[in-house]
Amino acid sequence: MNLLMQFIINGIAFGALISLVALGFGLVYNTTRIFHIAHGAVYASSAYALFFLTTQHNVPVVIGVVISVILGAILGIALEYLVYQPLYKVKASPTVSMLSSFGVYIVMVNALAIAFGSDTKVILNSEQPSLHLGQVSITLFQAFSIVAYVLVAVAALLLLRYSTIGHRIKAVRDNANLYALLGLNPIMVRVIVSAIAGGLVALSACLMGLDSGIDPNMGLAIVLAATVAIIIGGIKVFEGALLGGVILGVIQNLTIWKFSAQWEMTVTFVLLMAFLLIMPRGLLDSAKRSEEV
Amino acid sequence: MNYLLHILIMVAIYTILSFSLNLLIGQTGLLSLCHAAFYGVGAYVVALIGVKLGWPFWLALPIAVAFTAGISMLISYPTIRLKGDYFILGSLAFQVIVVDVLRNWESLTGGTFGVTGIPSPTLFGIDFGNLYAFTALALIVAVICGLVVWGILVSPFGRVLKAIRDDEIAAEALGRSATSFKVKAFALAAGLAAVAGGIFAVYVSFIDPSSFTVDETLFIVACVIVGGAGNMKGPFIGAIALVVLPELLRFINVPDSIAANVRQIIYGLMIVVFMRFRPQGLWGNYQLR
Repeated sequence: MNLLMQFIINGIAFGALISLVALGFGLVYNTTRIFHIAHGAVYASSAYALFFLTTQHNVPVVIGVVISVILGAILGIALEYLVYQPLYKVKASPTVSMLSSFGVYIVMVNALAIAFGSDTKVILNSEQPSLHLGQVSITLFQAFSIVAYVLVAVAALLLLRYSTIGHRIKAVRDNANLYALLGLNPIMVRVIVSAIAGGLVALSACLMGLDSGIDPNMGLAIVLAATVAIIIGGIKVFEGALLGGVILGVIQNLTIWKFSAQWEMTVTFVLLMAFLLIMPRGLLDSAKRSEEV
Repeated sequence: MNYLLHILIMVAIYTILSFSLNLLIGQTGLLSLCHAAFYGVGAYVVALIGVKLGWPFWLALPIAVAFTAGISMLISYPTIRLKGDYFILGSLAFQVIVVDVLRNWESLTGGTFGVTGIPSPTLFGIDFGNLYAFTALALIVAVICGLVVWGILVSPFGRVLKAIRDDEIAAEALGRSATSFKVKAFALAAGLAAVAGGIFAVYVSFIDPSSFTVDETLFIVACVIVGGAGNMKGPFIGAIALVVLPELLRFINVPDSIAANVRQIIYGLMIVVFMRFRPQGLWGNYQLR
């Protein structure tokens, strides 16, 4: 029973990290209709930035994380301007944009491999302190992950529901053309969303990197997991990413508990297929009548 | 000379893969990201039949084709009805699952250690282990596959696929079941990819899951996109271009440790550049929508 609890806690902590990535991914997908696979490259780049700062330049970890998050946001904006804007201007289809994103991912990840090597790097060599709550233990970074998740979730919910930018993001999600016709600038919204997504993904990457080490390919698996999380939670509903990520994290860890870690990916994708077939709208997005919005 | 023959064999293999993926991307409008999975399944079936059962290549290959085509139905039946993005995602999921199964089902596939000692084919006393003979075999098989694909492209079946690509609703309104045609196209493409896999398996005589990952799918997709989708010339040119290009890298002194990474960067860049400036590829007649 206690082992089960431990796995569930691990699942929630890991799911928290997936949720952060999924939230950003969902924001970008809903506003630009682009499957931003390069998100995974931003993830890996941010983790390596942290590695670079802390190990080569002895920057304290906390400052390193902050810098890394800022760099992630900047990288997100850069990708929007350099890759997606030119495609947007020639009215490229979402498929073309997705393939470009895939290409950019490959370029960035291999550049990282050339710069840092393909082996797994460890950021912190020391033993992590753990808290013991009753029979389960939780590491420091797992605790940070959950705290970060809660803070981001609250901020996201408030932002999306009550702020102007939140309404604008939802407006662009619903109808970007109408938004432009009303005299507002959808590109500004896209840029802001890219920045938020980049920052979130960097935060997640740093926490993951501190917990388990980094390698150039860490981004693809997490982006695929984020995609599954969004589909579970509901694509059109931003908050769905938060729910879906945790559910996925818990299911993955239950898989490890019941079977073995080897089947993690397979279970994730079988879950994806199941949702695509049975509940493609996800858990939070219910079918609405045309009178409702 | 051996080097040249090696290039010819790789061109033959990738031509088959490009033709078959073009059947999906260019002819039916299905952007499938799991082609390397079919390639891998074909290779593994041929390899395992040769190593564990000892049956000849000429028997193993048709079995591999049939098996891979059957497996393709596992993916196509659930996902073929999904629209655009979701289908692509489903195919990517299948790719990941297949590689995972190849890696984890150690008792059958040898896991990450792969399958070794795959026997070369022999026919009427000709040992195709000989490089010249094998090159001839690979080229002949590639030509046969090319003729098969051409036959499909110009047949009434192929025309229906094109109709589905251009306007699925109109095709259905005219009485053609999009689902059933797509599933058949998928099975054909998977079977052809399995042929390429079989040739690859007996050529290199050792296979492991790492040759059939998403990276490999990306390479095949790059061949089709760079060369151009929709006709026969495009994928053929694409395969030649992308197989020959990294060989040219050998003459620039790229250090071995990063050579693979540099190659991947080139493919990635080519995809990005072509998507922006020439979505129909070098010589294709279909622009990705």
